[in-house]
Amino acid sequence: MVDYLLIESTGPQAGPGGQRFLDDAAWLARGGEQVTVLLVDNGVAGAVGVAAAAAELLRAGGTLWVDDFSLRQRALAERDLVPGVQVVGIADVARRLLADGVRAVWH
Amino acid sequence: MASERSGTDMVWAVPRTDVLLKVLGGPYRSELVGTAFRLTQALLDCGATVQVWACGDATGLTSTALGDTLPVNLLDRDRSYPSTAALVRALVTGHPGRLSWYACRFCCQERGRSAQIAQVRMRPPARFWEHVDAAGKVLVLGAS
Amino acid sequence: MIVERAYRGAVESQFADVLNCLRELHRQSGGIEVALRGLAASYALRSTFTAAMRLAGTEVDTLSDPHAVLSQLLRDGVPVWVERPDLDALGQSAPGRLLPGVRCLPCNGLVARWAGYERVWFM
Repeated sequence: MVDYLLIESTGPQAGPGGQRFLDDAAWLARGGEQVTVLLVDNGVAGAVGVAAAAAELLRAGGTLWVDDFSLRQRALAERDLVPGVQVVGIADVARRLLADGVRAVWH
Repeated sequence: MASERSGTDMVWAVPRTDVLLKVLGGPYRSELVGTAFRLTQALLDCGATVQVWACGDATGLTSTALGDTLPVNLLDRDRSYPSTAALVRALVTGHPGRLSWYACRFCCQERGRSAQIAQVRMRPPARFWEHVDAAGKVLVLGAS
Repeated sequence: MIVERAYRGAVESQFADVLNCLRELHRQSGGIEVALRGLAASYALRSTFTAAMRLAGTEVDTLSDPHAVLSQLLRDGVPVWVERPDLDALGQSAPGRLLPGVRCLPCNGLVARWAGYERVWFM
């Protein structure tokens, strides 16, 4: 089992690439890999509104993080986040990135 | 540091670091630069050693042409707005031996940005994989 | 003036960003209107964001803050428009958190107004 930290920075507004990356994450999670997706920068928009890809990731057993700075910078409300999302700070991201066995990919 | 010293580079080896951040995206397009800075600082705060390799338009972040401050804000004249070059200088000098900043020489030359701040070492792209081999983990941020 | 691309460099930008440019265009032209689409519609939401980050032992509090500049645009008398679908995409509470003075239109409400403008620019 691989422990993934997948970082999505573009968000749904930027086109299909971000959705596809989250689909990749869900596929990995369904396959039994440990998957944490961090939404950062405009990627945080993928955790509010319809947020279908985010919800699918959670159903697949993945973990979904949202960067608190990015969320506040975009005036998005925590209460609007897809249920199950964890709001984290950049320090949490750094610790996760440095952890043994964690493989990180940025989109 | 400053510009590359090719003779010295023949014997110089890339210092090992915990993380290599390859920053591809340019400024003014997204929040990539700010996030790269935040992540770099957070990694350093964890005690990690970090190298940053700036490629493409990211080489502009440390151009000497930026100076230390942004132009005077006519609406906020009394405050000094640091340039990205000044911020990188502060990060590198504030964490001696733990943060190294590199800029791709070809990208600098192609963009007319060969004049880089002293804290940046320009490196030929042919040597990039030495930096990958010298890092525990590699994260590629942004897109060219 | 229509703004779609949002959040383009809080650290590296100062006043040479799109919203400050719009303030200047409003002054020079005698009057513009601004429409925020996509994620840029979030510029029109009430914000508690503190535009600062800690780097190299210093609080860098000179980050550009589009919410603050948008508030200034409104004070300048610039009509600012958003469309409801873009607000809905920002979360259930977003429509109720609009800055005072921002005007909300239904889907296609903006394009329905184009005939009444001398120019339509995407910035």
